[in-house]
Amino acid sequence: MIADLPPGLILVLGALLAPLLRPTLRSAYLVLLPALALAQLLSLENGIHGQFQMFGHVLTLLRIDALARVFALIFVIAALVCAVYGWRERDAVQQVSSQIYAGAAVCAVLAGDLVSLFIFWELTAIASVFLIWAARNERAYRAGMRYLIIQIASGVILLAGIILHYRATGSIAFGALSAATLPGGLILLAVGIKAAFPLLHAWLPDAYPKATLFGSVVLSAFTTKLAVYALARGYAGTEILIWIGAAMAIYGSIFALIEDNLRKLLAYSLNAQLGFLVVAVGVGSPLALGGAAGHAVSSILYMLLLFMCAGAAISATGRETLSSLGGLGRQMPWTAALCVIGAASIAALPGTSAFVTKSLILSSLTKAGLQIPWLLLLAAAALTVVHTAIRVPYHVFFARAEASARREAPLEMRFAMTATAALLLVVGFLPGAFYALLPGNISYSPYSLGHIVTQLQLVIFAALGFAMLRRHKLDPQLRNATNIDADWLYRRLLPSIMSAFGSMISHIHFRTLARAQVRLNRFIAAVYRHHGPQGALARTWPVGSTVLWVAVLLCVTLVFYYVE
Amino acid sequence: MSHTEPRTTTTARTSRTAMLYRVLWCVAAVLGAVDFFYPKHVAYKIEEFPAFYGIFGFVVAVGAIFIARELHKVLKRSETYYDR
Repeated sequence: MIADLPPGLILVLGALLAPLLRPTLRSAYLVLLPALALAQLLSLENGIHGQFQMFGHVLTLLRIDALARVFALIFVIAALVCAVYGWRERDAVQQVSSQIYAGAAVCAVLAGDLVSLFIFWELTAIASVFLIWAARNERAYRAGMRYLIIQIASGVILLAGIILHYRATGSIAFGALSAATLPGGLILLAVGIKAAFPLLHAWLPDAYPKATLFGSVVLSAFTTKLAVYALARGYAGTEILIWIGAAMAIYGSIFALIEDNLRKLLAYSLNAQLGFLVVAVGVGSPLALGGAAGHAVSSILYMLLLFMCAGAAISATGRETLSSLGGLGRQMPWTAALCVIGAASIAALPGTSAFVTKSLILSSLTKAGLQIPWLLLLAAAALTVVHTAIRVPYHVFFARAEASARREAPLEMRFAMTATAALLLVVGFLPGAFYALLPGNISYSPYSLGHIVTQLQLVIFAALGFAMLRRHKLDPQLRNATNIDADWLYRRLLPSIMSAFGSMISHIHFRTLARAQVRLNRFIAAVYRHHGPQGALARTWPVGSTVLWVAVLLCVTLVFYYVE
Repeated sequence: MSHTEPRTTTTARTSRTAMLYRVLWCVAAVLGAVDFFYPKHVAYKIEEFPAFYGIFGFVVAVGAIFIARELHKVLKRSETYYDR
């Protein structure tokens, strides 16, 4: 049984013991856990392990094939990198929740059935929100609440889809699904929320920048890539994903261009990069799926590296925006150099991992004859050069000094960043060995002369475009502003509709009351007029008035009697 | 303290930026020229256009920055917009 222990559970269960340890010991223990999980993952053969019966259903905790293995492997490596980066972190809440979050993500990609997937899907949501709340301020608390509501909603929709899927097919196995059926559509919607599809994406740039610096590094790796895995597993070859992905890549890029907050910019950039992965899943050929898995690995690594560099720069200066940072390269040369490697990777310069993985996706599009999506992704790639690869290192480390850093990043942080940068370069220089890990038996040689030249052209000319506009001061001025996005719908429009509706209801309520009061007053006045001291009916004594009424009644009776 | 260190003067920085800008132009020109000297294997006709990737990257970058700039004017709010 212990041989079949899911690697993710080592992280989840192991993390629960962490608070019992002394802080110094705890950091070492939290690095040991992902290392153990990595060893366990590598020792497991491909195939089905760890099945057990529950309520008459077979739950599969370990279904290992090439696709699941790549995602599990990069998640465990990301957990290891995060644990090293957070070595000095003394907040037990963040330490424990980050490991449970990573472990749940590993469990989710290895789960072979939809019920286990759902359980770990929700666990990632619940564990990760503590990384946002750990910032311990009002903004983070509210952003965390919004994040949690949206993530739990994704889980609830997933559950509804799973139940309908089970009723329709009698199976809870997690395999290919159809987006055209109701259950398949619901599951796609749930996955789409977590994968930050356009207009379902606002939780991402809303929540990630408000987490702690350590928290946003951890958050960048898991949730969205877990969703990409679920897409690749369930919806490979679903055509609509090509267009959704292309829209994501452009939408995220445009918003990243006009974002001044460093971590929010990276969140939009992350969102745009997810677009490439979603397009690849939509194409669905073996080359494309291999490209999706491979580029997921690349984008986890370079987003981790960029978020780590951003965290180091922000913690050294206490400033969050590009316009208030600058010139840190002098005081933080290591971090600056590593940030440049991260930037080169996201720009997919030859020699970095994104060059060898992004080209798989673009080739799969040309092979499938999808010219428009291919052009859109090429445009997004050019924009990535501008909004992240140039703006981030330039404004933080090289532009005119606006801030001064107190120190270079601590040794452990630099170690984690260096290791991540090294991985990016190793994959970039040894594409053959890396492709062997990917699903789909890919044989592809990225380093052709034509490919190198065209990619360099794309990067350099896009950079030139930005440099030219900046030289003529035509680039957007972003200081002291925030951009509204789709979250405006539920943070401003919906509340204002609700409050307008509320004030309408109260207006009607008060007007009705006022009218009723007027009527009542009139009635009382009428009664008073007739029966009051001066009223016509009060002129005689009550006996007289009674006699009058008796006479009236008699007359009425007489009339009725006569009519009969 | 770091802010007592001598800083690069503005003129030195400007000349360095200007040089970097010129280098960027030269690299771009070389890359564009290289396009004529190797056999292309293209999937689409549009790729046969000389320096297609470079020109496409340049036009997209400049165009998108202008679009984004206009969009920013519409979408920008004060930093404390959501805190009120």
